[in-house]
Amino acid sequence: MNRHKLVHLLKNNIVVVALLLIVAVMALVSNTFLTAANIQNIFGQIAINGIVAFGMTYAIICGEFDLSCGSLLAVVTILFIDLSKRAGIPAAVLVCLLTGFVVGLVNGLLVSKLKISAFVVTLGMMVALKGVALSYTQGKPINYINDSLYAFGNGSLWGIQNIVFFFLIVFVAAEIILRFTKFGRNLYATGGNQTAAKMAGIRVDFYKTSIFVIIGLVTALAGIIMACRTGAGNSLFGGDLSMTVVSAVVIGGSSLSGGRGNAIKTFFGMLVLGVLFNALMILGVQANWQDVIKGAILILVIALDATFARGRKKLGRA
Amino acid sequence: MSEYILEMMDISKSFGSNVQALSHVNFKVKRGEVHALIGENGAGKSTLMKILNGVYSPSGGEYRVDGKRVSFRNTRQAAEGGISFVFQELNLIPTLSALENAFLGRLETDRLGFVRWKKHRQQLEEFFSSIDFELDIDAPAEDLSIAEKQMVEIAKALLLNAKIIVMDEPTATLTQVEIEKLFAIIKSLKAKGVTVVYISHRMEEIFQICDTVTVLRDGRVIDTQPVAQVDRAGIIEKMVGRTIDVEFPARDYCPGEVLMEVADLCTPGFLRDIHFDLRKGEILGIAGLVGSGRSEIARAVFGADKMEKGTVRINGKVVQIRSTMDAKRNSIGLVPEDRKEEGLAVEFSVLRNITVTNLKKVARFWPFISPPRERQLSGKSIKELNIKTPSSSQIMNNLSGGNQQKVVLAKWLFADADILILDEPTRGIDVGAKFEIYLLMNELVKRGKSIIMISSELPEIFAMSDRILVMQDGRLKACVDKSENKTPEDIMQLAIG
Amino acid sequence: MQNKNRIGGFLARHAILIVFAILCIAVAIIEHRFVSLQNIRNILNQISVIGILSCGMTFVIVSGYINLSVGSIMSIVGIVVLKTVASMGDAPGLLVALAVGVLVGAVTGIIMSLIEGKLGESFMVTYGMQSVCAALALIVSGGLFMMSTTTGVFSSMGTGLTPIYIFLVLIVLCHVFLTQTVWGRNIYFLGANPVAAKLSGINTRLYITIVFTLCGFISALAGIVLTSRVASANPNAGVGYELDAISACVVGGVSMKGGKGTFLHTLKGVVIIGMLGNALNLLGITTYPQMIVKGFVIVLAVSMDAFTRPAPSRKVGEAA
Repeated sequence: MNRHKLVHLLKNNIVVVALLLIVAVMALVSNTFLTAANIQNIFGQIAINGIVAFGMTYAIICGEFDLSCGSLLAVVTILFIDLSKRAGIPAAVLVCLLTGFVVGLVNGLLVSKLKISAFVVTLGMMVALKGVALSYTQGKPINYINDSLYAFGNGSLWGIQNIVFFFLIVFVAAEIILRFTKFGRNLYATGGNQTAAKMAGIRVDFYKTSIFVIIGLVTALAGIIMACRTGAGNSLFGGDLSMTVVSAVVIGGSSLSGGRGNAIKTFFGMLVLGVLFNALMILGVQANWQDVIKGAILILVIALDATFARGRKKLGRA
Repeated sequence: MSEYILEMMDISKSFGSNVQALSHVNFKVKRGEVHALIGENGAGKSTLMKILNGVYSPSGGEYRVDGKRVSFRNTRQAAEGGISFVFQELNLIPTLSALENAFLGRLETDRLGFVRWKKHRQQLEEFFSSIDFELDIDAPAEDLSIAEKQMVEIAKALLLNAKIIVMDEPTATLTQVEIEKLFAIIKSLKAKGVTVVYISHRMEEIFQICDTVTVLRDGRVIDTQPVAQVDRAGIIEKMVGRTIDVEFPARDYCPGEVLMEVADLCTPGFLRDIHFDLRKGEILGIAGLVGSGRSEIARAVFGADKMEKGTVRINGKVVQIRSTMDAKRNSIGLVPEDRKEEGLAVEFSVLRNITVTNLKKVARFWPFISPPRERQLSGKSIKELNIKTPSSSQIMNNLSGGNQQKVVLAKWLFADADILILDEPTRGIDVGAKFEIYLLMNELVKRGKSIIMISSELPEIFAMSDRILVMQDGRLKACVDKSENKTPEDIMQLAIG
Repeated sequence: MQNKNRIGGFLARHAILIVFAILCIAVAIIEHRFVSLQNIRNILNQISVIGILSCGMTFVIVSGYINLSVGSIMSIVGIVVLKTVASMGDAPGLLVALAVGVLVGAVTGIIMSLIEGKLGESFMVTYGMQSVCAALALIVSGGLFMMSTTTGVFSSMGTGLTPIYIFLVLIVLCHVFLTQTVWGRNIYFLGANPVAAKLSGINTRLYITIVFTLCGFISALAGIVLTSRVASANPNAGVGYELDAISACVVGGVSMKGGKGTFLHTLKGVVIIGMLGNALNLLGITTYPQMIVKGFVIVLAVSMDAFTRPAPSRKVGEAA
């Protein structure tokens, strides 16, 4: 059994292994890689997407999935910038969070009550929201930000960037809820074996709707933060958000088949992606090639996940 | 307080107009007893219990728990009514721990929504120590052995304070030591006044632990007796006993030379060292309990599953069967167990389902399909197999089970298959249609085809087969020839023992 | 009683056409230009590109999958074709451009067949592929907008009514292929019940690869026609077209569940979607707000399809 246990351990934590590998290689290749500034840079890059990634983790654990978060992010950045100018910051924050809530609720109800596939619902929502963002801005970015908000978005406290604080807070909260609350446990149940969960009396529809609402809310939060950081609202923001975030979650080890994973795994998944793309940047790889790699990573990750899931299912049969 | 904690009275259940799963079943269980429910696969045990579990509602009859008439519409209601199930296919969440599974859907939380893990942990640990069973309650369910999984299910049922616990084949995969522990649990349940319904094939256990035994056969209760008043032979006779000659068509046994030889067949993690050969014009039966590996052999030989090891020879020459295309090319065809999910495209017509295996035949100017030729040839198949359908363009879903099965068979005859593997060929088919299928099988074999038949119905496999392979736990236990004059009970004995 | 049911059934099955007819009449009343000759020509032109693309999509949907990368295949092929035709001449140039589409389709198909995936996986894999192709389009074009400079076969493909002729020829060929040939039959079976298809001795892996490769080829053709028609290429040329193709197929009656639908359905859907886009344009609803409508339409169309053909409830990756 020893060999089996070793393989099992490696498989479960392959993310950490991959991370260490990339770090090791890059540290040898470049002397700017392991500097404090660069590490700050990496965390700064992954913080905003990372917040959404934790929401996506919940969805994937529950066996669902959301393609529309990228467009929602764009809409929120635009809304926030515009409203903070016109109606003040508290109102802007409130409206943005509300928007995230409503979008998530619509997604959730369509998927759980009307039983339409999550792919199609969120695909449609993604297009519709993109239309909203583009219509509102006519394709041009909106640039205006309150100075204090901009300072907030780009400032640091005790050496750690503000946005990274949000990232870490969401991370910890996400993990605590997953691990210690009834809500979290029932998410795993719904995703792991929906029939058994229903038989045990778990309200599957409620959980499926909740995760979409959660994604809506965290995306709204990420959007607000992004607006503060960049000082702009842009319909082009979030273009590859869902792809990046799903890759991170699955790389971390949470299978799309549901019932598996946690926030810690996603954290490492985001870190691996962040480190990888930071490495590519240091090595001078062009932005477009980086996009090619992003797409290829998603494909690879999905293919591997599907193969492993099939293997698990086969074992369950015998 | 009534003597009976469970009374199921005059229960009947039919599916569609063709399948009568239960007929006027009277099943009464006394308070605090361990009551065995025994019968072959397909006898109706699981249907009866599914009614009790709220999965089905009866077509006729009623049932009472603790003297009160109830009607469960779903499993939650059954659970709330005091009925708890420990299934053969376990209902655990693979990625959650034993602890979390034991309290699934019943987690207690404090005001903030945090689960009272300490309390639940204590409850579960107390349970396991009271039965002297060791288990890592934090291990994810998918990592537990089957015995451990079963213990978790039992814990789950007990922690619900059930009045009646139904155990479905609980010892199928336990070792002797674990079985003893299970019996100790059952005894302590009895002492607490909990009633147990024990569904099993295993005679020794019934005699060891049960107070009463009810035998089901063909959806009817044959008898209910205190265990002390019956013997083993008597029970087996009631389980199997049907005069064989009448319902199966006679046939002369005249097999030709060896057509296919399978040697050293192993599949990853299950089948081990399967050897058998198949002669021309013979029906080879494969018997054994569910999960013993019968369908696995079928799928491996048909190329649907990977063979880890094994050689297949047809007409003396070694052939590679690595895919279903290879199998088809070698004239092998499979009629799967689940005809609707695996054998047919139910939304397509009869015509399409028959011709799918050999479209070359209907492509007059290849690659173009000739609809007239297709209609003509499929019409021939329909006539040949006596498939009852208004036309060849009728949608499969509208046909009866028996006729659907004939279509699957027709599809392989259309491909000129010489070796037909039939997995549960008469499942879910009414008596009249069954006979027709038997006649068909005889006819095919007379024409020189060979049939491998997998069946859980002992009389059927006994009457129709020339030889019977008996499987147990992935291994070939025995090969019984017709000439050996064994009885169906002997076959059952080999499968169970 | 029976008469009532028959009318009810008729309405339900043709609900989409009826609603569409009403909408057309309404638009024609509001905006007279809708029924002008010039506009009809515009509609036909728009329909041709979407139509060609939808043919490729139909194959994929009928076999039980989906392909989100078709739009970006159009983009990259558009750029490639301008370059290759300028440097190699019409025939070799066209062949190379088509080959690009074939390559992308084949890679996608091979991946899908190897992982034995279902609808869910195809969403994700083609989504990733879309990203890869879009990025490659940017790289190959250098982010620049390119003008067509040649005259010849290629540039004539986009002039006058040629695009619509190409579309009509293609859809007829596809229809015959799918409904009359041995291969089409197997594709239908694959879509209706992939397990039963495999257990009937159909080489499902091969067919999955073929279907995606065909889709890639046809998407390349659409990209070529579009580029020829507008006599230019840019890396974002195909953005959004995949949604039109999916909408056209589903609205027309090609079921997402697989195994059901013909190119007649596709034709119907293409006409509806094409006219819808045109009507929205005329009513002053520009591209961006149109996207909102499109998102809504796709969800509506698929839910109606699911309503008439309930699929067993599956989770995301259990499409595994």
